[in-house]
Amino acid sequence: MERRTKCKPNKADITLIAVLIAVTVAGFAALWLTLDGGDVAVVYVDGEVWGRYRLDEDKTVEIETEYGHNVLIIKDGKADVTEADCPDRTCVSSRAVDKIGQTIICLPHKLTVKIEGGNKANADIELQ
Amino acid sequence: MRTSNCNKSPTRTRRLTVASLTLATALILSYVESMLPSLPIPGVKLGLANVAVVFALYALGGVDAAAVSFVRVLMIGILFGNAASFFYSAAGALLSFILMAVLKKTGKFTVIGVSVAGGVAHNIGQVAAAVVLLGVDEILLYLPVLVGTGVIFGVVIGILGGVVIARVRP
Repeated sequence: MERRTKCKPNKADITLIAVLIAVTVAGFAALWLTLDGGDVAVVYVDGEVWGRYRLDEDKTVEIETEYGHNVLIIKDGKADVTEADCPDRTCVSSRAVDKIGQTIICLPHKLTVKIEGGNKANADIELQ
Repeated sequence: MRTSNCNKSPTRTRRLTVASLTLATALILSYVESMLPSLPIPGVKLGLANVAVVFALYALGGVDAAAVSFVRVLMIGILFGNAASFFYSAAGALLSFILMAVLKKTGKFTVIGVSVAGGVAHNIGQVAAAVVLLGVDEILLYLPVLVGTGVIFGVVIGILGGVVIARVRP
């Protein structure tokens, strides 16, 4: 059994880490360059559209599903989850979103709030 | 008088004992980690329990380590989680373990490299599972963060694992 398990990284390790860091930086750069402000916050439950809310209208949405309870607030052009009865409350502590493609997710409740729309995307969105 | 055929050879008994202790350690580490405050970004985990899995990989070998990892996911799912979290962590642990075993087999990486790959793979696996389950692929936007934190925590876990592997003689 190999005992060459000292705590110092070797060349292969450094290469791997460097590659992964480069991927991370490239990913961030790509995001920073391409994200656009969005128009709608779409709420998905279990992969299906549950509701759509325009970002330019302030609103409080109580999302009550078979999986749990979440509260979504649309304010100042951003969407934020402010309350939830899930065990970890990751969704509540995440920041407000307003750029296309950004999401707030509540895994235990199978809930996703996704920002869609934008100047380049389809102009005719059916809104409730 | 026949000797009892329940008498396993010392090697197998020792393997079982070490594996069990490692598994117990993994469970405790998972519990400790769940008590720590977590970042608001979904999927970012310290992965403390991976120290135990990495240790098992180097001290016991692939098969036993796979068993430790699998049973760990099962028990955490039963004790602390629900069906959804089990699916995510199973996917993450599976991808992580396969990658770690493969990388270790090549012999070119140290514990740190193996652990980094394991940490990143774990995060990616969980995200992929969430994409499949939730059907929303914008979760992929979180990938840069997940890869970055996977690297950082992987290095930490790798150093810890290296210390444990060098000091503990199973």
